[in-house]
Amino acid sequence: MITMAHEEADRIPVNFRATDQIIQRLSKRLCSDYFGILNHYRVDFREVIPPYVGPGFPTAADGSEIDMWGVGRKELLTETGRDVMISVNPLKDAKTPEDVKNHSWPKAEWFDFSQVKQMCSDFREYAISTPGLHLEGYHGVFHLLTYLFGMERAMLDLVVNPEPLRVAIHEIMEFFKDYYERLFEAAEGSIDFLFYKDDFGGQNNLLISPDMFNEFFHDNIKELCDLAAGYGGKMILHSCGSVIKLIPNFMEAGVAVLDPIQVTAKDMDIRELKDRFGEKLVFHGGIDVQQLMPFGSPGEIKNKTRETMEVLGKDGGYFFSPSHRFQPDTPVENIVALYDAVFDYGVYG
Amino acid sequence: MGTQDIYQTVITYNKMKTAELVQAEIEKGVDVNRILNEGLVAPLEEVGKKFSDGDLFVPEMLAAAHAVKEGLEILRPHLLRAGTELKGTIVVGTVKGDLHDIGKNIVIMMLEGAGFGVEDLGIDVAAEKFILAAKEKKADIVAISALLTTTLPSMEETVGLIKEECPQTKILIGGAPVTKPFAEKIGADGFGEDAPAAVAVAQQLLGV
Repeated sequence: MITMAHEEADRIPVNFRATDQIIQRLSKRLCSDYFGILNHYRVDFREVIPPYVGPGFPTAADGSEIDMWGVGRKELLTETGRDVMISVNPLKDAKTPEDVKNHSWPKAEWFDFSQVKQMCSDFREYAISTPGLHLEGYHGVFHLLTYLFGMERAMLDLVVNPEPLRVAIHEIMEFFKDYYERLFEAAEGSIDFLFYKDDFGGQNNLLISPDMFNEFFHDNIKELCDLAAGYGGKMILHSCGSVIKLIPNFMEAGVAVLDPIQVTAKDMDIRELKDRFGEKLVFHGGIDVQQLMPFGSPGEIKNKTRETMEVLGKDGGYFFSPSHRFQPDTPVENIVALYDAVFDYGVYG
Repeated sequence: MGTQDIYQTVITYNKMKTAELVQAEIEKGVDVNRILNEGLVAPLEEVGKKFSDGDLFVPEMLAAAHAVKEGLEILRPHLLRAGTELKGTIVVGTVKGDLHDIGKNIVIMMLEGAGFGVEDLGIDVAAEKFILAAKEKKADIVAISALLTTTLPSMEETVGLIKEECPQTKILIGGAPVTKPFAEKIGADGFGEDAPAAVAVAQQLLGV
C-alpha cells in the first residue's frame, strides 16, 4: 500500500501471470503447484474469486462451450499453442433494443460469496485483487460487446447503430454492479484491488477514439471505481496496446493503477509515462512478452528489468509484472532470469 | 452534386444512402467508373489517410468500408458490363494458427474498392490452401495477415512454400506484429503497415 501512496517501500511488489502451458512447465521444474510457483517467485498478490454455482449451459451442436453470457467458444490447437476462438455471438442478429433486453443476462446469485471472507483471511499477508469472474470471458464491457455481437458488428455499430449496444451495456453493468457489490461487501474491506480487464489499444494506436471511449465506456469504469472505493479498494485497469492518449480519461474516471504497459506498442515509453503520469498513476506490468521474454537472452532480460524498475519504480508507484501472460514460446530460463533480476534490483535503498 | 453526394455518404458512414445515391447516379447515366472513383474510392482514401495518421480509428474505418461495399454491390454488375477490367486478382487470408480477421476484412473491402478482384480464404489458412487458390484463380498477389506474434514463424514458412510453388505470384504481408524488416527477411515482395498502405503496395507491385 506504500507503493500506492507513491513512496518507496522496502522493495517493489511483484506479480506473475502465464498461460497454462508455461504454468505446467514451471510446475514440473519446481515440483510444485500453482501456489508453489507464486511462493517461489515471492509474488505479493493473491486473487480471490467466488466460485460459480449457477446453471450449467449445454454444449452447442458444433461443440462450442456456451458461457453465462450465451457466448460460445471453441478450442483451436495450433502448432504454437492453444487458442480459444469465440464461435457463438448470441446477439449478432439482434435487431431491436427489445431483442437485447430479452437476452438471458447473468445474475449475481449464480456466485457463491459465502467463502470470500475466509479466502481474504487466508491471504491477509498479500495484496488481494479480484478480477471478479474466473471464466474464459472475464473481461470488461468493450470486450463483452465484441463477444456478444461479434467484433466486427460491435465496432461498426458503435458508429452506425449504437442503440442495441447501449442496452447491452446497461444490462452488463446491472450485473457487474450487483456482483461486485456483493463481493466487496462479503470481503468486508479486505479486497485491495478490483482488477478490471478490457482493451482499448492496438499495436499502433487506440482501437477507438477518445470521444467514443467517453461516450460508451468512461461512466462504466467510473461506477466500478466508485464502488470499489466505497470499500477501500482501488481499480487496476487492464488495457493492452498503445493507450497513452486515453490515460488522462482513465485517471479522470478514477483508475488508480494501469496495467499492463505494453512497451512494444506505439508511444508506450516508460520514461514518458512516468514523467507525465507517474505522480498520480501507479503502473503494473512493463516487461515485454512479445519480443524480450521469448527471444531475449537472460542478460538482456536482466538489464531491461533493472532499467524498468529504476524508471517506473522511482518514488514508488510500480508493481512489477510481465506485461501479459508468459506465452508458450517463452523459454523457462528467461522466466528464471527475470525473477532473479527482480530480486537483485527490486530492493530500494 | 452527384458523385460528391455519394462521397459524403461514405465519410458520414451512411451505407443505405450510399447504395441509394449510387443507384440514382447509374440511372442518370453517369459513367460508372466516375461513380466508382469519385464517389467510392476517393472518400475511402480520405478516411484511410486519416486512419493511417491516427485521427480515425477501426470503427470509422469499418463504417466507411462498409458504405463503399454497399455501393460496390450496386455498381459491380454495371462495371462488368462496361468492360471495366479488374486491376488484378488477389487471394487473401489470415495465416495458419491465427484467427483474427478484422484487419484482413478491412483490407479486402479497400482492395475491392480500389478495383481489385479479391478471394477471401478466411482465417487459419494453411500454405497449401493459399497455393491452391493462387493457382486456381491465377492470382497476381497472395496477401497474408497475422495478429499474433506467435504465428510469425507460420508466416515465414507459408511465404517460403508459396514462393516455391508459385514463383510468379507476388506476396504481400501485414498485421500488427509484422514489420518491414521481417517482411524483407522472409522474402515477401511487399509489406503493408495498415489497410490503406496495403492497397498502395498492391498497386505498386502490379504497376496499376
